[in-house]
Amino acid sequence: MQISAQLQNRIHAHISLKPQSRFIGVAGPSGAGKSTLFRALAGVEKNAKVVTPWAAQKIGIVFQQPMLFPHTDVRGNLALAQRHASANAMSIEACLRGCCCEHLIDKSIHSLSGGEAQRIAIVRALVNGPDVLLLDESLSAIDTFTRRKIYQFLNNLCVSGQLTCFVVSHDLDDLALFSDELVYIDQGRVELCGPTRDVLAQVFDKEAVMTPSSVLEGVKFASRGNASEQLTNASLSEYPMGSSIERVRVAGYEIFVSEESLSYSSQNDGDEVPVRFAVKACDVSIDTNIADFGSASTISILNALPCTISSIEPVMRSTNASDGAANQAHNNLRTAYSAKVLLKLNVIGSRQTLYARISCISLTRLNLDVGMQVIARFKLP
Amino acid sequence: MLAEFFGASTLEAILLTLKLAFITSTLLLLIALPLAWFLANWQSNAKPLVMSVLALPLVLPPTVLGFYLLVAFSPQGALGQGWQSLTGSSLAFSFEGLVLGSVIYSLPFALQPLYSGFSQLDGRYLDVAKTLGFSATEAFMKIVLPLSKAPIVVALGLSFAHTIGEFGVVLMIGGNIPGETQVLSIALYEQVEALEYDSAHNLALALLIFSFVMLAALYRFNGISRSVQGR
Repeated sequence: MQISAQLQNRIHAHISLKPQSRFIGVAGPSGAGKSTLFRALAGVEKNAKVVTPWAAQKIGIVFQQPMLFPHTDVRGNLALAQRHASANAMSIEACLRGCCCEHLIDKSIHSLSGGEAQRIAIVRALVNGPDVLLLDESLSAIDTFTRRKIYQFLNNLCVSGQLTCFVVSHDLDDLALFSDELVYIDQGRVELCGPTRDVLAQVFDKEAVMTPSSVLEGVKFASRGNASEQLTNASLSEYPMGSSIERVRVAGYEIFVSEESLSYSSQNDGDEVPVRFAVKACDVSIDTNIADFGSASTISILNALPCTISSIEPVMRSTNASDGAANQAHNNLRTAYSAKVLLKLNVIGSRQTLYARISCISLTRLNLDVGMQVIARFKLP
Repeated sequence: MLAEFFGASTLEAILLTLKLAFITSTLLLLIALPLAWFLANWQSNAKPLVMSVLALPLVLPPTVLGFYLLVAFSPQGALGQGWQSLTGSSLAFSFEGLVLGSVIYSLPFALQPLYSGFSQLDGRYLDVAKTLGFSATEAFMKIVLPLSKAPIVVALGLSFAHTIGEFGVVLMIGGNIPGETQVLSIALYEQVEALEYDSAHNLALALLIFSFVMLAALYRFNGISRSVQGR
């Protein structure tokens, strides 16, 4: 899939995506031209030259400002969107359910909160039945739990082939979880484009992200006891789980993940479904007692993966402060942040990477070094 | 009762003025809506010149405008000549001439609120409408007009009130023909000239109250719609 958009002095973007990619994340610093690119792709940016493979298809766009028509209520907005809906458009009820806002149907626009209005704006775009939906930071005011639910809903539509989604977000975790491919834009140009995991690693380096997240892929198994004999810490399965906790096998080990933190990468309804989830570097602790892998019964951290340390880097943040006071503040920050290090860990038995952010004290105390085998323990994502 | 209070000839002038104001403000709305929308979306170096010409009646002495209109409406003027060949009657000193003159004189009062309303309308509403499949006309009718309710009401109210109160232009192009071109302000002027102060008081007070109520209603409406939109 080749996409090109040009607007004099604003954007000069050429995006090359795999034909099977249906959920595409777009990241980049503020003012990079992401919104202009989306406006151009939606056909509402005058003078933009755009080449897309979806010329004959219906494009929907949702801005960060919901832009709900204030002269009517929620129902009126959705009715306006239905006037020119495509034949295969979803029903209002299905869209409201998917975006967790069935209770808002009879509300007036002025009574909606920012997050509620954003949800209705997405529903309005969906009931119009777009083939391609452009979300420009359209979920920024929605709480994490609901946001993930909506992303899951949109991702399901993408996986089932009903929709192609382009999503701009500053939340790299969301993009990491759901994107098939990731595009990084800076100064109106495409700096990075490709599989999410590869682009993400480069973005973390580029933006000197203090708390990067790693995306782990695994298989969710539906019924209890299934394949448990392969799992080293399977004993945990004997404990009652909340209905919102799922079991995922990563590199042969059982990992517990909250239901809303999972991203499904296929429509497989069988016993084993491929899934993804993100783990924040600050949630990962290092344990050097490898012998104790499956019997860490005195700590609350549920998940464990055996790993090898592949790199150790100090955590620092670059700033472009210019005046003296700002430089002073910058130096203070540097001092504070350099008390931490970022470990890059290779999960043994797979080619997946996990980040761990730990203090310099622990690094010295545990004598950690590159090549060392450790257990990465992390809380339920 | 009204005839007793104002007198039969004054009542006739009141009805004629209301008729003139109603026709003028309706015509102005039909003209000013597309014109204001065009101007709000028009980018050109000539725009300040066009805007200045359209706003001239705001600052021009009404007698100056009335004089030029009288010249244009006269049977020797192009407009008057064209009208006469079409209808067989004169445009000057006729009700039709009065309507045309009022439309030109009150145009900026209808145009300015609509122009500011349209200019302030967030273009992203139209972007959304376009992606939802609306044509430009449909978006204007279904989105722009309902969102511009306040400027439309203000434009209607101001052009109506302004037509009720006009004097100079009407006197120049309409004269003072009872039942044909004698409007309220001229009837009042005539009463003062004839030293009929009691009738003049009644009429002046009625005009004062009408103007005040009209403006208060407009400000009230504008305040309500602003607070609703601002929420």
